[in-house]
Amino acid sequence: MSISPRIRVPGSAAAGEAFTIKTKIKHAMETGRRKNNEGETVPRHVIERFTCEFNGETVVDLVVDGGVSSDPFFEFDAAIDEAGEFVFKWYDDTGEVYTETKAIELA
Amino acid sequence: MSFSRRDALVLGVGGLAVLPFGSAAIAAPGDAEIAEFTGGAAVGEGDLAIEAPELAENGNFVQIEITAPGAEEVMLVAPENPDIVVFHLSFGPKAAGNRFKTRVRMAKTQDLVLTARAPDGTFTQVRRNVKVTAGGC
Repeated sequence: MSISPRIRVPGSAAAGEAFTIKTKIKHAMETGRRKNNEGETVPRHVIERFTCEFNGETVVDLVVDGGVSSDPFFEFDAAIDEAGEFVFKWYDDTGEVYTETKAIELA
Repeated sequence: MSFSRRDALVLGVGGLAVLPFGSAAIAAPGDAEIAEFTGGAAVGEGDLAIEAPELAENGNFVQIEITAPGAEEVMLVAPENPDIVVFHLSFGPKAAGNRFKTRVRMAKTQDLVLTARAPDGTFTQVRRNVKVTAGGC
């Protein structure tokens, strides 16, 4: 399935200086409680986990237990002290894992 | 075997007395989930914050921003939601400022409760009331 990820990471950052990362994907995040127009319960289908790592170290690790809105958007701050790569992963409860990467340099 | 009303009343009071919270009070929604996260440890006030609208028109999309300076892990609960625990969030070595912004579902007006664990194993908590016009769960 296509989640059309949109990720904003600056191209470069000064060592130790915090900057903001924004991520957004398309996903229904169905709770399994909603009824469609035919009155049928739409089955649960969610991203259960989201991780962001930089050069192998964790930035954030989010475990979705309950109601996160559809087309989930996550914004958080990071700081780096070397150039490298951010790796973003969304773990779908179907078992699929969607991965995106963004390189960043030191300013 | 028949219970008299007096027997049932005594049993009921006895049942209340063995709740795992050290008091005879009935646990509020969310308390069990928070106790599981803290292991029953004391929870203090810190410099946690939840930024959220006072009134959310659409409970399907409530934008929140949490800040948990120095926290290793936080848990957000919405005690009136069908799924009480909203998320667990860990901050790693590359996080800066421990801030997280997202949108959550809220079934109805309630307090969102954020509980944080510091690296030394202590816990802090903050609550934020959000009024919800149209529920979204």
